[in-house]
Amino acid sequence: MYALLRGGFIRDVVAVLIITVFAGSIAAATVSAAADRFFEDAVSGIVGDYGEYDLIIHVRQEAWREAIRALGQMLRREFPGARMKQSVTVLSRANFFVSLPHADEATVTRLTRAATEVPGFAGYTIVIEPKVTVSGVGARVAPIIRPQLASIEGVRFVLKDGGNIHLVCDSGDSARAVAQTAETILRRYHLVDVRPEGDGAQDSDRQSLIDRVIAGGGVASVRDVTVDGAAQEARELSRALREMKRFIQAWAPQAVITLKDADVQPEESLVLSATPRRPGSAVGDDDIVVALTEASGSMARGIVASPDAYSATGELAAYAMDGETVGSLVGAGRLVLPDRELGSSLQEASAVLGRLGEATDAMLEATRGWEQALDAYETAIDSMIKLQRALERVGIGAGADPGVGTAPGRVRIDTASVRSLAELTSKALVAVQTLEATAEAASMLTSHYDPLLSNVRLWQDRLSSFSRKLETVQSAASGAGDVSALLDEMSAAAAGILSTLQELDAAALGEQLEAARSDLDSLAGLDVKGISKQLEAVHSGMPNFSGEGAARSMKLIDQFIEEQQESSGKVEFLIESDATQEQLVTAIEKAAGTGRAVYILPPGVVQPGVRSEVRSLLKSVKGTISGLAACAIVLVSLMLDHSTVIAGARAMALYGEGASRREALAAYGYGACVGAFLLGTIAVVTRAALASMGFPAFVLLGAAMGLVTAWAAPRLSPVSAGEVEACIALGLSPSEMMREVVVPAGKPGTLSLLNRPRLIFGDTPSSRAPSKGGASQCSQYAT
Amino acid sequence: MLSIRDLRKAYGSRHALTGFNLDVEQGETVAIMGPSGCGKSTALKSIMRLVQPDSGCVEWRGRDVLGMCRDELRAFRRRTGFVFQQSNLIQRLSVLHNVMLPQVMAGEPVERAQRAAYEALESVGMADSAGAFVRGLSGGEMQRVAIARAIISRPDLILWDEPTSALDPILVVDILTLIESLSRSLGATMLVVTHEAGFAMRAADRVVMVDHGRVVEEGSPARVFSHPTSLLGRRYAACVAYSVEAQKEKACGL
Repeated sequence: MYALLRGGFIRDVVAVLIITVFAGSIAAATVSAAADRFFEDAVSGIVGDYGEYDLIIHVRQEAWREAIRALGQMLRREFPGARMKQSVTVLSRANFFVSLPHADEATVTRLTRAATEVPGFAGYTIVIEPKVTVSGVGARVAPIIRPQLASIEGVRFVLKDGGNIHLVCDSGDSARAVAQTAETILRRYHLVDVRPEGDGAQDSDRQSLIDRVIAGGGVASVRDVTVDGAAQEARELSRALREMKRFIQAWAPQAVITLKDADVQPEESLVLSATPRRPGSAVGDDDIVVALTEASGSMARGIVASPDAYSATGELAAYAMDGETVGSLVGAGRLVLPDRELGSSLQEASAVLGRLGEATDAMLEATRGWEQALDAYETAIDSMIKLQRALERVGIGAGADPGVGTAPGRVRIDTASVRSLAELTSKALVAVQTLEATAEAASMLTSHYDPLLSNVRLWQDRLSSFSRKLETVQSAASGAGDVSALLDEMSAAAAGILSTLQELDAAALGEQLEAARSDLDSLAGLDVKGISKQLEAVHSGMPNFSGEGAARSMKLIDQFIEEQQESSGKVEFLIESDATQEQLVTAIEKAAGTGRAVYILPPGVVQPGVRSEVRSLLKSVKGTISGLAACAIVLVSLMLDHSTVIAGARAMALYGEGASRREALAAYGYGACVGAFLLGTIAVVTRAALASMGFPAFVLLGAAMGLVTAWAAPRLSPVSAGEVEACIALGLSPSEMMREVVVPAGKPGTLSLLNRPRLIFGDTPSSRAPSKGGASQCSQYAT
Repeated sequence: MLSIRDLRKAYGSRHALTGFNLDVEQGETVAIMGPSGCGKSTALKSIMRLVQPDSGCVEWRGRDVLGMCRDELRAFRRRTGFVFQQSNLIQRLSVLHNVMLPQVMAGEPVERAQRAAYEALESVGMADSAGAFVRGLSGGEMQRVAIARAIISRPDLILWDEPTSALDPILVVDILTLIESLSRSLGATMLVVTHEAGFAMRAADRVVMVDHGRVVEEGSPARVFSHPTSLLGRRYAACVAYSVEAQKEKACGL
């Protein structure tokens, strides 16, 4: 090989290498460009041109006919001006491209919702362009970062699609800046996943973990974004059902049982009956079955399970329930029907409210009466004082003048005074009665006027007593008789009344009356009709608890709650921090403690658009095709050209031309070098790529191909050893041998083509039919 | 003229030459005979350095052939003819071009080479087939062309490596006759490896018996075949006697 290359044949080899690289690069690039163009046209035919479509609706293949009809109708009806195009079916999914005349957030959202009604609907893909997609955003992370992403300059609007947030951009030029800004925003956040390791305890106290993380420093904020998925929803449902159960327990028909030397458990059933029952008898239609919910000591409580309608009242005998038969007597029970009581209360409240207006008017009137009563009170006091003086004048009472002309046993009564006093007393009594009635009515609504009411009643009693005595005096004054004792009593009564009246704080009472009037004015402003309506609505909206339904519902609720699985114990936090990932892991592991694994992920990843992904994919396909073409071209070149060189060199080595075994090994080296050079160079020029193989891999692959070619050269390009031996014996140089003997006899390749014009003896293929006689032509000289 | 001293060559564990010695005078025709595998062809190819001996010395006109550089060797080869057992013609070339090849490669003008080729073909009786392709020739014709190629440059030394072994008996006689005539006409020094004792007797100046990689006997054909001193010589002598006796008997009609 050395002798061959030293002898000038190297120029031939170099020429072949250059031509191979040049032509091979062009060929590989052409093939890959053609393939790329083909695929790109195919993709454009499938997904449309840039920005042509906004949404791809996927439909089950078997429903495509119905889908196309329904989709067309829907678009014509709800999205005038929209266009639709049916595309290829992929993986049993028919695809429809939809283009909106004006795509904005509301329209696209409306379209995605409307699309779910299309028969066979199997999903959709948002393909609005230009856009930047942030993918992998958790359900509870999205509300935090979405507003920030939406505020990026250049973002027209934002669409949320599962775990993706699509930032629709103003233009293709702004998309790159939007993507960079989005990445900057996302880099500020870290999604931290803390979960128990192995049998590690679940951390249910998330807040304390958050506090510890914050206390560790270096974080701007920490938010709990744990999503338990179905478990969380089930927990919330369980919570709601527990409240529902509590509601049912509070308002369903119930029974309270006092046990007598009996031990019962919740979940057992008892039978209540108004009539004595024999153990072993069947549960009758009139018997009330109670499903116990509580049993403690000598008391038990339960929900009435059946019948739905029951009229039993009072105390009922309670029996154990043995299957469908009545068991032994366990105690006595009574029904509690909260719903009926509520209904009655609501009705009464409604009635009261209905009368409230009248009562308010009456009370307002009463306040006016009270004012009159106060006036009458003043008048009464005056009258009492006058009476007292009158009595004193007649020698009765503590202030009586003993010198006044009275004879023992004889009293002179001023009947006119007594009559006017009686009238005053009567008026005072009427006023006080009116006052009492009003205060009594007000005290039904509030206890504010109770002191007033009790005072008023006291007055009333005294006034009534005084009035009766006055009547006696009046009747006594018309006739003779000894009324001195009676008059003494009257005097004392008058003194007492006067004292009581004088004790009354009229000013305070006036203020109270003023306050009462103000309250009554407010009451008068109430929308009594509206409140009544609400109460009626509450009453009519009360659930009609049938005992059996309530008991069964509670059982189902308990069963559901029991079946709910616990969450996995994983907690997720969204941390805003400029710390590095390693720093955060260290800090959070320290806060979380042992037995927990900490993983840190980005809150989202900025993805290129569908078209960019397709372009990227096509680019890699192009690189792959280029790589494959380069490999094929190099392989062909090795087989056609360089196998001939190697075979010739190896043949020459047999006959001592170059004369050492190193020559044979050199042939392998030549093959490896040529293969590495060709494939590496073409790969670089055409930017080939094969399964992420880089330049070194291509070099190695080329070398391997060259080695294999060198090993197989004698079979690929058989060289006549005898001819080589003869040429050596004739004194031909290795180059001359190659040019005149080996290459012309080898494979028709670049080397053969380049060699042909240089042949001294023209192309006279040995495969032609022999012809005897006649001169064969030398390529350069004619005979 | 040609001096070979203690030539040794081993192919692995097989020793082809174990101290081959031979001196050949100018113009001498030496027949090298011996059983197959005794090293005859190896010795011949060693002279041309088609085989690289392990040790020894080959001198041609006082020049060490084994020590020649590449260009000297090539020049030596051009002036030395070699006829192979299998002719080894270039298949893609015509008869004429095969014969012209060494001259043209040596830098001779094509016309001159062509003329010389025709003369050489003439001398071997193949001038009429100058334009024919090699593949269509018979074995004897191919060997004639090979001979013409070997003698075109009028070499001083012609080496013949069993030139008739691959031919049928009829052609053997033709070729041997040709070689015999060339030996007389060319005046070149010829070493002919052959199994043909008759040829050796008629055409050779000297017979060299080779056995186990070295010369065991040499001398005039008459002496070697009538009074052999070596076992190999005796065996060959017996073959010759048998042939002569057979011819006599045939002539007598027995």
